[in-house]
Amino acid sequence: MKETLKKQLENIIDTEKTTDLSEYASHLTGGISDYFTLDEILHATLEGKSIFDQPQLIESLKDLLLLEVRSAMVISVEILGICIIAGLLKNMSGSFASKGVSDIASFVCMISIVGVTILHFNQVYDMTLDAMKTMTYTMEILLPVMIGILIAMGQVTTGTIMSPLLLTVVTAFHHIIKNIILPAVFFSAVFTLLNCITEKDYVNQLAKIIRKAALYGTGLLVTLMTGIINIQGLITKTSDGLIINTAKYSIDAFIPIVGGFTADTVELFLTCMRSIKNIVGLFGIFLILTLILVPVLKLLVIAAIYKLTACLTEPVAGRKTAEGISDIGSVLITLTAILFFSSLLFILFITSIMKLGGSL
Amino acid sequence: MNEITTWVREVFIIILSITFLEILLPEGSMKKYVKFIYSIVIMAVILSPILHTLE
Repeated sequence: MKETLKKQLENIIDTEKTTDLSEYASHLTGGISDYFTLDEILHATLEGKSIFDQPQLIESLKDLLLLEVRSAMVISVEILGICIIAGLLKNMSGSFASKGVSDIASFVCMISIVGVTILHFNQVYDMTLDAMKTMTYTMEILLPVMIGILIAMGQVTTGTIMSPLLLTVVTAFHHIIKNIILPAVFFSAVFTLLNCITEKDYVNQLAKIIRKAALYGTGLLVTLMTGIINIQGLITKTSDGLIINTAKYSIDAFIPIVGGFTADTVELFLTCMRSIKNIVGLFGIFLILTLILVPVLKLLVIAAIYKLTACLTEPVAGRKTAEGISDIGSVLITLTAILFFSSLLFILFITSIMKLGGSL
Repeated sequence: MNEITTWVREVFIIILSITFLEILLPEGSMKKYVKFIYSIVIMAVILSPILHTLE
């Protein structure tokens, strides 16, 4: 049974592409996606075992977490060092000749804190852009495979209409996020840091509004696109069900002797294809989840370390600086939420296709 | 997108320069009024893209 399913799997889908995808993902996620390859899922489905049954999975996750924490601590120590010097200068401002000199010195210290933070934030921002690009790349490879299986199962209308629609929606979503929403979050971070240099709040409200608008915009976009895909799927599904059932009855009724056997073979074949489609769908979902795991973990760890640094620098450098660093932590959490929304959208797409073919 | 990048860069540079000038120049009785003028300038720079699109 397992060999038949495996052979059919290799017949229908292009296993070269999926193996390439698995290798690329394994390189990016540090080996975690190796626990969820197509073979493993096939094995688990047929043996009836749980797929999360691996003890090494938790070990690798723990190692990943510790690595991220260690690399984020470096930034925190840098910012703390500069803040201590800044605090020293501010508190000694009376003992210098003119007040202006020490004011300028603390101003320069603030600017260096802002510089270090912006450099680090740029790295994190590039990593987020990369994660989005990888997820879109995964979807663009997986969707034609799954639509091909849908068409081979006989759901011709669904396959033909959904295929260009899904690919367009995925590409449009990626384009909007990359060119409008993520740059807006970056500008919000720049304004937040700018606000903590000056004494008076100059751009505080602007930064907060841009960040909230980006988050709500992403949520709205996800809702809109899921709605489009699901409504379109509902309409085409009814027409396809009619076609398939008509075909099955015609074979059974109009072919005299072998009609019954043929209809049953077709039914078995369709069930087999359905399982293959669900297996490929599961593979896609796990791939997207593991691809998003590493960036989200990194972002959350760095956000936590920024908040901790804000707590530590508040007594030393003053209220404005601490608030600025804490707000940068909030911006990072917004980035996490945007990544999470987009992975939710892609998983909803894959699940919609799995549902459209009829569940087993 | 280019316009928005230019706008952010302008706001950034103006606020840095004005904070710098605030420390250096105003000494004396004109201090409050100069600070008020600085705030009006910053508000004008933040509003400038809207005025451009209205033209």
